[in-house]
Amino acid sequence: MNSLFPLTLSTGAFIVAALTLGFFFGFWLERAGFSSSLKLTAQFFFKDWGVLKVMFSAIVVACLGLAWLSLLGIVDMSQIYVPDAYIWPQLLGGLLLGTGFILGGYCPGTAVVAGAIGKLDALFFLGGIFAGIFGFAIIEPSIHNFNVSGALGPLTLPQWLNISHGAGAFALAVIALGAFWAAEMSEGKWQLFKKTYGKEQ
Amino acid sequence: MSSAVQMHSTPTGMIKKHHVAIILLHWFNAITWLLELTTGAALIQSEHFRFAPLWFVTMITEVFGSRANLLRFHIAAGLTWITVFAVYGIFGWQTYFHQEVLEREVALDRDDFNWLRIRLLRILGRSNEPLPPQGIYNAGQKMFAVMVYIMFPIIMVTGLIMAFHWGSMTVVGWAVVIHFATVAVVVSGLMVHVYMGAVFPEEKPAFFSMITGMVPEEFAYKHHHKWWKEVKMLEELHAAGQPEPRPAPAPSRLLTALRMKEYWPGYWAGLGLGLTLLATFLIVGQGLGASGGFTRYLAFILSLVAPGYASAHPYWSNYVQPGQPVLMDFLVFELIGVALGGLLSGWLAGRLKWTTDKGPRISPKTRWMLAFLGGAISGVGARMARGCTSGLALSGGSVLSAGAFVFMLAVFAAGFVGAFFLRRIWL
Repeated sequence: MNSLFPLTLSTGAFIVAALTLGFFFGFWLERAGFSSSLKLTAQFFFKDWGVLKVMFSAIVVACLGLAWLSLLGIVDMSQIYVPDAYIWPQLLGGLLLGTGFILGGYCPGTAVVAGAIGKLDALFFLGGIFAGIFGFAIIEPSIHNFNVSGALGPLTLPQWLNISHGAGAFALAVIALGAFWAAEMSEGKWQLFKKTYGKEQ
Repeated sequence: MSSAVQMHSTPTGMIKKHHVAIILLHWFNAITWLLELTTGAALIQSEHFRFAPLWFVTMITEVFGSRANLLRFHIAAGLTWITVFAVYGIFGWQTYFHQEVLEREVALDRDDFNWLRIRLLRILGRSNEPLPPQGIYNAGQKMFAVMVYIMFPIIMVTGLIMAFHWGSMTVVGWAVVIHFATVAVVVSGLMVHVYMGAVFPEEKPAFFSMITGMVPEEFAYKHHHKWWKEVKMLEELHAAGQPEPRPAPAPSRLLTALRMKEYWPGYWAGLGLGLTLLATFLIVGQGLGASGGFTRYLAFILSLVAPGYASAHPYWSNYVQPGQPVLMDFLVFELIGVALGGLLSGWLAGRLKWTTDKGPRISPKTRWMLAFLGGAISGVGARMARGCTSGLALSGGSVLSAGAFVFMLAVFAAGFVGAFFLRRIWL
């Protein structure tokens, strides 16, 4: 028997699914407080580890969920989209996005929910994103060689380390638990914010 | 407490437990399950799944004349079952799907969990602790109810999918497996339920209450003490001519949580986000994202205002191609949902307001300029990396993409280092 997931949807069902799933995505981002640039940037000052906690717990839930469902034959992992790796542009792109994050206070997804609840700074950030994308498209032809460098295809970490996908998912869960522990210690006992910036929480 | 509670003589007489509508539903349900289990068992002919002996299959098939008739009967009885439950659901919604009723009659409380623990220890001969008092239903009955509430809708939906071939062969195939599995779970609980009701001597009054609607007071006193107390208190108030106390309805916990001013704890929001992300992978085969959607919006605008430029441009031509609608993409619609979901969440928590988040040292105008600049740099970074924190780090991370982790580490590194040098913006 073929795997049940991922589903093959008609156009109408696809649009309804996209709207609904996006709705919940936006709901959770807002609930987590990601509609506030103050809450988001507090992460980078070691003040509030919310970004790490939300992101890693979400990744672990989805990753373990997919691994188990694939083990049970319910989802066909070969049909799940894995982004192509372009190591060098992804490294530089990450550095740029991180810089934009601390300058602008948001990342693209969180700026949408922040804008939706009336944060003016988020609306300016959104305008900036459009300008940035437009600008990138203009310069892309001249940096095209760099932009496709380090191309490794849809490579996953377990493939690269030559271990099974499940072992990779398990390792990720263990690392995430370690990161959660460190986050709690940083907010509590270690007082990293106070030690680095000399201010009370 | 009222004096009735302290009454020591063994109570006699009967008290009312079940409404006649519930008694009728119970026996309708019992008869339907008997018929459906019998015909269902006879319908399973595949060697992988058949568990009824062959003579049984042959006998039942002959009773109905043919296998086709047997199937028709099974579907008709199933549809009747769904219809009756739907009618009860529509008319009984207000009465039975009330938070108060569900908390009292279905949700397990602290006493129930203790009851289960002590009951188990007593069966194993490890404890002599007295069992905690029980409400109108005991912990075992409540667990059965919870299971039934979860399983019945699944059985109904999978049954409909099988009967009317809703969806592809794969979907129908899985519906068959899930239909069998959920029925098997209910049957395992049903065996205990029937044994307790029909065989177990101590529970005899519960069985008769499903016919007369009444239970002996003594039985309620012994086995459902918390409920007995409530009934007695009401009776006494009634006799004294006082009105029934109407406790102020407790605010719904869900509503309280939705209305709370504080953000939800990170791990819980992460769990919700993770389940949403998992559902996205299962339903559409890709993850959530954001920056890819913006790129599509921009490509769409370009295809309207400068179609020639867009289709000839080495980058935009990836998106703008004749005969391919630019906006037919998951992220394009998902982003509309994101805005709506954020809006609803913010509205419920009372966070809808035109404001600017900023550090204490800078003016709003400086903040807006920095936000635009940061957005622009993020836009370049997201396109270079082929995704942003959502599309690449979150979704790619969940499928353990190598590129996603390179990107994620770079974002955090730049964020922490940048924060140190740009601290005047935020602190």
